[in-house]
Amino acid sequence: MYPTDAIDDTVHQRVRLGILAVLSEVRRADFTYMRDALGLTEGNLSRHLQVLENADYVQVNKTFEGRRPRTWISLTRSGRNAFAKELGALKALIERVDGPR
Amino acid sequence: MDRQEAALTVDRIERLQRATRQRSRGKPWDLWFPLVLFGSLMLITPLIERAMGGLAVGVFWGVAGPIGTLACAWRFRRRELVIGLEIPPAPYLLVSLAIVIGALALGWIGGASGGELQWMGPLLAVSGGYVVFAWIDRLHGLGAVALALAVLVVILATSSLNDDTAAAIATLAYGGAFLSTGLFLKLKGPSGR
Repeated sequence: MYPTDAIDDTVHQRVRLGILAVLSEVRRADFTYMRDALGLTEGNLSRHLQVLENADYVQVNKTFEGRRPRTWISLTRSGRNAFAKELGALKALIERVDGPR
Repeated sequence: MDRQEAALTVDRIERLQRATRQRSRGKPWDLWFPLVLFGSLMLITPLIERAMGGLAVGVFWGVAGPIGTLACAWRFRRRELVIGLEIPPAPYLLVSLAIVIGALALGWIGGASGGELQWMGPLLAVSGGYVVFAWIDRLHGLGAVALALAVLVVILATSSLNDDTAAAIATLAYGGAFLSTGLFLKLKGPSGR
């Protein structure tokens, strides 16, 4: 099997990979942090989060802190697995061309 | 996708992960609060022991330990809400719990059996816990301080000093090291933290 066969089109997109990379290091991140860390507009981030949520890779929770709305995003188990698989496929592609180290 | 694109993508992912990890775990100076808090509590422990005895020390830490841990947890939680990143609390809570339970248990067992374990045990439990904290957050300096203090405990225990004197010196050394490290980190950090 060629490494790129394992690449998931839902995950394999620059912004969405960035979202998953950030979420892989924390329990959850809020929308504003994600927007600023990835340098996105709110609309752009929302669109990509919708794609990931539809694939059940992220969970989006809208809460209130006092009167202030806040949106938290977390990685689901299948999202974590999909991200790990994508990262593995990319590294396998690099190693396949370079040869095992 | 070619190799170069894959390598650039992996590099970008790893940079994002590193940046997120650093932002979520905070800078070393964010540790000033628990170090100052527990350092101060340790510095007054010999006074309590002298005035009211070893059992009072156990009661003091049985109350102050969990309350102090909760105060630190509240502070770190507040920071998470401010920056918008939450990390899994389980490792930190487990280590904190292990320190409190380990210290109290070893102190109680040592008290029942007599000997150095009564005062060595709790201090070594603290050192062990802080070595684990340092490993979790990759803070080599903190780990080194914790290990050095553990070595001091062993040196004092095997010296010719009597237990009360050795215990007081060790506890003051722990308290002084934690407090001074915490104050140093507070002063080193950005103003207003």
